[in-house]
Order: sequence, then structure tokens, then C-alpha cells
Amino acid sequence: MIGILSTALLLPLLMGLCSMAMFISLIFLNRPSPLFVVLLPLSFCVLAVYAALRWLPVIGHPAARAQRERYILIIFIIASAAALAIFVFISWRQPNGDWDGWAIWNMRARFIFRSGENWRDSFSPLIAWSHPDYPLLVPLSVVWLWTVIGRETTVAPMLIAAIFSVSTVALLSASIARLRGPTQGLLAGIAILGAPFFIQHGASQYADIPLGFFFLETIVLFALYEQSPGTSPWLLVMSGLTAGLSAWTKNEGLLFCLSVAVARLVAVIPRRGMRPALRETALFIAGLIIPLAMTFYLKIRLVPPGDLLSSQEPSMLMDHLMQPSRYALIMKTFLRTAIQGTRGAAGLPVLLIYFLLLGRKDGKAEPRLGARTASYSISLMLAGYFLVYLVDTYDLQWHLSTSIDRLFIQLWPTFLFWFFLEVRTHRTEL
Amino acid sequence: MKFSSFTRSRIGLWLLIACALFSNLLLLFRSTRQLFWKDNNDYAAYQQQKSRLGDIPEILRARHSRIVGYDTDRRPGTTEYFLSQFILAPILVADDPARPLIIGNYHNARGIVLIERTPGQ
Repeated sequence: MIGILSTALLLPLLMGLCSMAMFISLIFLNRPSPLFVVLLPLSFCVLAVYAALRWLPVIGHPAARAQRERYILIIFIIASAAALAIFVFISWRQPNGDWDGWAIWNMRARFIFRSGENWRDSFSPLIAWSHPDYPLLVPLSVVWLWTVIGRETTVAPMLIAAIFSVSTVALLSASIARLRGPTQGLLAGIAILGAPFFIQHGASQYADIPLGFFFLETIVLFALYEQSPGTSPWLLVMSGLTAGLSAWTKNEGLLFCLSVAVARLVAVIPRRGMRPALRETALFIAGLIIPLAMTFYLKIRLVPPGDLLSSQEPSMLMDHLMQPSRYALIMKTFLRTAIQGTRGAAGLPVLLIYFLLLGRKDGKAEPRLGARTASYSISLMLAGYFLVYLVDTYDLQWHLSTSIDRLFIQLWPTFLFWFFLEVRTHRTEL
Repeated sequence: MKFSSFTRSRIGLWLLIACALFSNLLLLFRSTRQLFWKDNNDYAAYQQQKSRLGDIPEILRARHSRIVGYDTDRRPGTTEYFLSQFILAPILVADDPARPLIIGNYHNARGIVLIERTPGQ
């Protein structure tokens, strides 16, 4: 289990660091340099593997009970095999990805890889429709792979999409298995594999699944830290790094950085007091600072401002805030998406019935700070999304219909993590 | 009728597993059926048309430019324009028919063509 957990934690993190190294190389040398592109990520990888082996095994966790419910394992394997087949089929039909996959993320990768010293052309206002202000983790990960291979191939974006999709399932299952027992871990994995939109969207080569992965990883690292607070401060630095990588993946990551920092403070201060909370925040910010600085550098120095809020005038903003119909439409769409967002039978209603049947975990004996951090972060993210829709300049109906399901699927793995931390197990041993 | 805690937990467990597995396998069935459907974004056909455009980078280099315009008699803002940009990157395809060098996408030209304009044309 340690091996699965460590790999799921580190492999996407390595992709993120490779994209950062590629960006630094482009900024300072105007080209991909072997020193940055290969040596820097590899050095970090060695350090990260050492850190994972050094710290993860010593984190206290409830002894894994010998739960011999093989049928759940078999169902998990069937669902995983089906998901893998679906992923391959979709990738075979759409080797360049779905709409945003090719028109935004893969096109930016092509621009940067093909244009040499003119790589800044990819942020030209002439192609403003391709959202040049979007962060670069996904395209630069593709460029990194192409640079290492030495040529362009559609296998690279497929592979990156696969790494993030598989790692999300593995991280969710392995972390829940570690914190609540193996059966719960398998159930969490089955729940996410039962979300058709998650699998389809993973293969579409959009950036939402990588973003959702970094949301999940940040929250998981907080929860692992809570297993033995104070003994593994590097887990907090890593959670800052993964939060920062979410901002380096998509604009929603910026909201997540703010949400998770506030959520953590609100969760920790009442239990541990102000000073430890501030110390934890300092460690979190230490990890966050570099990817966040790179994101701001990209947005301030390299690209024209984004289209969502930049053209907002104060009078229009007030006008939008004063329209009850906008609140009603957003609320209605949020509720509909919450019910139908997975595009399958295993959505929120089924989880609600499951929760009502099994009840909440008896957690008097152990701190619930990890779960609280997750639930507060999700709530703040939803509040943030609500506010952005409220004030945005697009046609609201159109904007909701084209984006809300993707925002939902970004938060779904983190929601499932929180859910399986909080729900009572079908046996009452944990 | 009151169920015991054990029965309730079993019902919950199997409900969750059944719904997840049903959704998962239904998607597999649909994906298998769609496997040989034609993709709406027909890159391969578009990629082939690119060869008809000649050596655009060379022409642009001679003009000290990295930008071509785009003109069409089809519905503006359609997938074809975005595909042109995707296929031709890193050449910048501006949605502007007034440029000296343009990609023309006309329904009677059986695909995309390159049009060079001399000043005054």
C-alpha cells in the first residue's frame, strides 16, 4: 500500500515539477535545456522518493484489519479494467483530445515545442480565443515529454492524461485504505470509477482531472499529517507545493490556494491555537510560493489579461450582484449538477442514501482536522465558484452550461475523500 | 419494519457497488459501440489538406512574418478556423481576411487554399 500511495503522490508531482523546470528553462535560456529539463526534476524525484520512504511508513495509522472481502477487490478490478478499456477507446477515437484538449492545451504545447525561440507567440492576442492566460502545467508537461522523446507524438498527451486519471483513483483508494482500512479504500475507488464523466473527461485531455488530482493530493497530505501532527512537517510543505501546482494547472487553482489556506486556519485555530496554526501556514506557504510565483509571472509578464473578470466594470458588477434571477439560476444549476454531475447512477443521491443507511463515523477519539480541512475547502470553493458566476461577463446560461460540470468533476475526488473519511464503515471496526 | 445495523450497512454497500458498476459497464458498452464512429474533428483529412498549402513557413520567412490571415465563405468562427490554427502552429492564423497572405477556406475550392495578395489587390 505504501508503494501505491507513494507512486500516486509522486508521479503527477514529478510531471508538475518537469513543467516548472521547462518554464524556467524557457524564461532564462529561451529554449529547453537538459540541465533544467532532465536533471532538476530527476534530482527532486530522488529526494521525493527518499522523503516518501523516510516519512510515510512512520506515520501512525490504524492497523489494517485483515478484511478478506475479496468480492469487493474483484469488483474494483473489474471496474478498473473497464475504465482502462474506455480510456483507450476514447483516446483511440480522439488522439488529440476533445475540444479544449486540442484547441487549448495541445495547441499551446505544439506552439511552444515547434516555435523554438519564438515560443512567446503562443500567448499572442491574435489567438485570444485559445485563452493564452491559462497556466501551463499540462502543455509544458507534454512539451517535456516530447523534448525527452525527441519528437512530437499524440501518445505524450494521452500518457499524461492517463497518469493523472490513474493517479487520482490510486491516491483516493490508497489514502482511504491507509486512513480507514482496505475495504473502504476499495469502495472509494469503485465510487470514483463509477463516475462516467470522470473517466470520459480524463481521456479528453482537458486540464480538469489534473487539477482535481492536485486538489485531492493537497487535502490527502493534510490528512496524513494529522495522523501524527508535528512529526512530518514536510507533508505540509508538500501540500503547499501541490496547492501551488493546482494554480499552475488552471485558474481555479488560485481560488483553491486561498480556500485551502483559509479552511486550514479555520479548522486548526480552535483546536491548537493561533501559534501552531500560523506555523503550519508558514510551512504550507513555503511549498506554495514557487509555483504560485511562476503562475503570477506568466499572467503579469507574458500574456494578455484573462477574459473572465478583467473586462468587468464596477457598475456592471453591482448590476449583476443585485439580480435575484442570477442567484436563482446559479443555485438551480448547482443543485442539478450535484445530482447528475457524475453522469451515472453512482452520484450524490446514492452516496446520500449510503450515508443515511450507515451513519457517520464515531470520531470522538481522534481528531477530525483532515476531514474538516476537506469539507471547509470544498465549501469555500463552491462559494467562490458561485461568486465568479454571479459577477462574470459572459451570458450566464451559456457559461453555466459549458463549465459547471467540469467544476463539479474537479471537486469530486476530494469530495469522495471527505465522504469516505466521515462515513461509518460497513463493519464497525474503524 | 426496522432493519438491523448490519442489514442497513449491507444494503448501503451493495447499492453503492451496484450503481457504480452499472454506470461503469454501461459506459464501456457505449464506448465500444462508438469506437468506429467518425470523430467530428477530422484532423486526418484536415492534415492532408495542409500539404496543398505549400511551404508556408518558407513564404513567411521571405516576408519576415509569422502570421497568416484567414478568410472563409462558410459560417464564421467554425471549427475549421480553429483546426487551421491547430494544424499550422506555430504559424499564427489571424481571423483577418485583409492580411497579405491568407488561408482561404471556400466551399467551392474543395478545401483550404493559400492566397497571396500583392499590395493594392
